[in-house]
Amino acid sequence: MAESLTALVVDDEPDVCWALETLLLGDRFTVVTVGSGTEALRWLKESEPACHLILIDAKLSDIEGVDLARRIRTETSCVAPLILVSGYFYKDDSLVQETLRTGLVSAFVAKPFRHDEILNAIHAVLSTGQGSTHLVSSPW
Amino acid sequence: MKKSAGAVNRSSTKKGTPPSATAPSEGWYEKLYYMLLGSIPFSLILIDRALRVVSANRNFLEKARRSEVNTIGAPIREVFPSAILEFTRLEVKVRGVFDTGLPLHGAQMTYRAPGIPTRIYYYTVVPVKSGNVVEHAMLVMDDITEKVQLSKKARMIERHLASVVESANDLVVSTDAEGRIVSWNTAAERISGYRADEVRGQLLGELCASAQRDDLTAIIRRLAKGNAVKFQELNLAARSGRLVPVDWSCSPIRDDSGKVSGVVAVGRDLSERRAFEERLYQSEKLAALGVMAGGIAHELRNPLSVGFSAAQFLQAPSRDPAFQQECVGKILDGIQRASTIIENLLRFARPAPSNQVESVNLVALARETAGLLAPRTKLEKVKVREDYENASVLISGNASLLQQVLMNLILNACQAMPTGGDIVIAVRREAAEAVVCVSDTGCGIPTSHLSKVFDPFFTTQPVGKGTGLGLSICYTIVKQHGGVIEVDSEEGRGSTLTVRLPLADIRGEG
Repeated sequence: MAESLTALVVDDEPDVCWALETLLLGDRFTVVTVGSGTEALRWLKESEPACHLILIDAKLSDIEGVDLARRIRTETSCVAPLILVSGYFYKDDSLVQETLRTGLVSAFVAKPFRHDEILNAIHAVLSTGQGSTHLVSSPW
Repeated sequence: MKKSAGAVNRSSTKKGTPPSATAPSEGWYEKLYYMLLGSIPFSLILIDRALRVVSANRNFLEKARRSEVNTIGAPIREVFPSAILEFTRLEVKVRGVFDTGLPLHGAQMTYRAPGIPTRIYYYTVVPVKSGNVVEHAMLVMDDITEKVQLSKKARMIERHLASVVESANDLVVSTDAEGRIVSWNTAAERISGYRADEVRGQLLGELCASAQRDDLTAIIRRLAKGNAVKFQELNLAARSGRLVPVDWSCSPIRDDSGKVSGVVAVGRDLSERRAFEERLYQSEKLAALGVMAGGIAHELRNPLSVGFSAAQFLQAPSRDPAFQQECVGKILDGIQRASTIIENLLRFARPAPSNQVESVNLVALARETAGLLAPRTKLEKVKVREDYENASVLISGNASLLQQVLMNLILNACQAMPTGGDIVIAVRREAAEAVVCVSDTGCGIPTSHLSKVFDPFFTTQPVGKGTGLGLSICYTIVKQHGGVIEVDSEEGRGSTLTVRLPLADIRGEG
């Protein structure tokens, strides 16, 4: 990775943003964090940034994570792979399975997560591009 | 005196000149005698010493269905049926009156003769003297058939009512106007453990739990004044020492003049219902916990996730002590948050005896409940605004049950807003009442459903989503606290549920 990649973290829990930001910064990402789906859409629309990866919390206070994923694809030009991060859903929930099957999201990570596993998932998603599915289940 | 009553009666209908007050004509007294004889409501027969009927009045002839012709001059043996003569020994008695010159009082005679309805008479035999000689005996018969039948009927109704009272499952107690026990039915004996003879004459109020003695005494005093009293739940102190919750319904007994002469108290033993309600509350609580579980899992996993990440950062070698401190801080915060969530959850889940009454601050309780439900409301994209005028609104009640009411109202509001919205929780004082309002901006309740929302098992939720018990349990708990719950709703705009509870005694306010 010669150039730094940009990751967008969408989570309404500031401490979760802190953890993901710290982790990704350590992996030489440039990190942008937002606390809601509305802010995420605004950032993606207004600045049309070079965004390489988006981590979305499944339960945001304004928009459901899966709905946000859909709106990113329909309302913005962003094609960066999406990873759903959630403490609410399980990897075998039908909603999660469905979004992975259709390729709307590239990976699902359950909270709490091991750092090596989420980083592996991120790298795998970035190296294979869109369409590949990755599951990171919680260690418990 | 050979004239019959009928003949005299006919002559009395003649409109002759009224007798002068000073000198009535010769036959006037006789006329008067026959007129009286014909009109009094007794059967009268004049009998001579040969026991023959000298005269009989119209009343006798009509009742016995006899004519003058076959009665006047006939021996009483032929006038009365032989069974009656034998049973009453009338001839012997009449002869006795002739012999002794003393009247015969008070005997009952049942007059049965072919073709006529049975009549019951109370009869006396009066000697009619001329000087010292008893010339005639007058048999006076008072028809008491109706009286006897009425008193029989009254006794029957009395027995019927008594058996209703005795076989009733509820306590049926009557007292005098002072509240002293007059009657105490079998159910009262069974439920209280006291026999009727032990409590008769005691004040009913004295059998209440000591704290409520004055309440019942006051109720009886109000009733005695003729004031209406609504039902009241008071505990009865049974012989065993157990307090039996009883729902009393009292009404005054009035005498013919309308004055209150006593009180009837009908009491329903609520023990079984209370036990059942406790189980129902508990299962409904567990159902509410199920609804909350998703939110709680999410809420717990966030601090766990942060702590987990922070610990993993600490595992990696880092030369930055400030960052290490930050990680430790995040871990400590996360543990604190998680344990608060668990503590609230446990406090709510714990079964609470419903008879435990304490001073409850509704504001603190509303705050705690809103906090407990915050994960859920957040997940449902529901914004909760809390509006408390005072820091403390005290009522006397059961905190655990009241929290269940708040919990159900908030969860219901959430259900009315599947795509999110606003909830306002308000607690305030209004005169002598504590008022708790939970308003939502949800779908509202159709007018046709408004009257049913407090009915058990009424739900518009699909099977498996709602039990339909939430609001009915709220209703029962609020009623148990002496309060009311009201619903106000506009379809498409939202609903407001208002709970009004009596404020605690001002002395308790601090």
